[in-house]
Amino acid sequence: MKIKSCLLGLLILLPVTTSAQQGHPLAGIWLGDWGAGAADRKQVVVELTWTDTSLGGNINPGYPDQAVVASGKLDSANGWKVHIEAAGTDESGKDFKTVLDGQLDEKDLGSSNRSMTGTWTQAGVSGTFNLRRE
Amino acid sequence: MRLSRVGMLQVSAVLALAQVISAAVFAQQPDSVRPIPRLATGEVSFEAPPGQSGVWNRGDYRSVVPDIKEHAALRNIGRWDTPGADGLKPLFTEVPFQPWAKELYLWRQQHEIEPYGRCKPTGAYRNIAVPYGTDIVQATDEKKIYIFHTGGSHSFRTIYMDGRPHPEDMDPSYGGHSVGHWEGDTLVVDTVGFNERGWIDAYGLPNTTKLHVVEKITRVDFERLTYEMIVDDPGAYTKSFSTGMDMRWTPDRETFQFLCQDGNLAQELMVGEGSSGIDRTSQITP
Repeated sequence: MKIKSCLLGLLILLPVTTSAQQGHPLAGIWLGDWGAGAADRKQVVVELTWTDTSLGGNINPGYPDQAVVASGKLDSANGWKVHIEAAGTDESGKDFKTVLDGQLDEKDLGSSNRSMTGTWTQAGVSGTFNLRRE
Repeated sequence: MRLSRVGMLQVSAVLALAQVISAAVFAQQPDSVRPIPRLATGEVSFEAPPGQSGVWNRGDYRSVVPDIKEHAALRNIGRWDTPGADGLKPLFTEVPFQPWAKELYLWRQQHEIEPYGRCKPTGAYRNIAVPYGTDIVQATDEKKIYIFHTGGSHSFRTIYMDGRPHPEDMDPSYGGHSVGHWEGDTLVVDTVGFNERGWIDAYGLPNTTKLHVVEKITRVDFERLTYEMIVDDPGAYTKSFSTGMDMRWTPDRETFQFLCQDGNLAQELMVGEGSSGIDRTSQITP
């Protein structure tokens, strides 16, 4: 049932966001993984939106560990550094915070399939993330 | 007073001769002093006079004048730009970029992965500033104006002149949705509904779906158009700004089939490695 809900959520999400292809370098749907180590990777979906001057969006929309982007920043003048903070509530009702600190890969900045990598922190666990924009 | 038959024939002959002389004199006038042609409706005509051909050519691909070192990669200052037209263009440091838009624009000076060069349609400034000439066709009965350009994807844009508003809900597109009206002899075109896949100009001015463009096209004399564009995009710029260019009438030319890169003799220039240190080699279509 949960899987069906997740897929439905993604299906609803995709048509809305595929219209945003270029524009702000972070806007769009990003797919990838994160985890504490090479053997502990979890797939992740990050949907980011740009509204005039603010970054918004969702991490893993439709999933139990869904989190809403509370703040985000792109430091374009210093190597395209990215800082994103998101907040969610897990299945047990406990609030959690997700923080992504990374960097856009400048060499494919002109591509709609650009990528970013960095560190990921959630509920006291840290690791790395890799994301590629769809 | 009644004219005799002979008298009427004489008057007719004189009138006919006057017409011939007038036409001959008119035909010999240089384009610079020929009057601005008008349609039967009285509107200024952007089309070739009857029996003639010609296209409008952009004076300059740029919409922004470089004034800092990082911006120096810009090439092609344009053959026909006059000081007046350049006066329409902002300096780079005058463009009210948001920080990300400024850095992305600068990045694109060294990485010319332009959608236009990869077969995508174009909107805004780049819809007009294309190589090989532009046709502006006024379908007055239909209350539409069509802008056809030769270069790029050989596409066209429709400007609705029937007073309709923009649709409230529309799918974003490369060219957006354009409505126009006349303010005196100036064609004013209002366009919204852009997607984010194109560049505003050939040099990479970025935009979001919030982009709203107002274009003012004025035929200042027989051989010259002034094109002014006002850009308003709160997603990429902190306030609106304007730019523009001169366009020159090129007689005895017509648009021709130039379907994207098919038959393009300048592929190396558009998508090759080149020798200028500018990267145009992305294999990924934006």
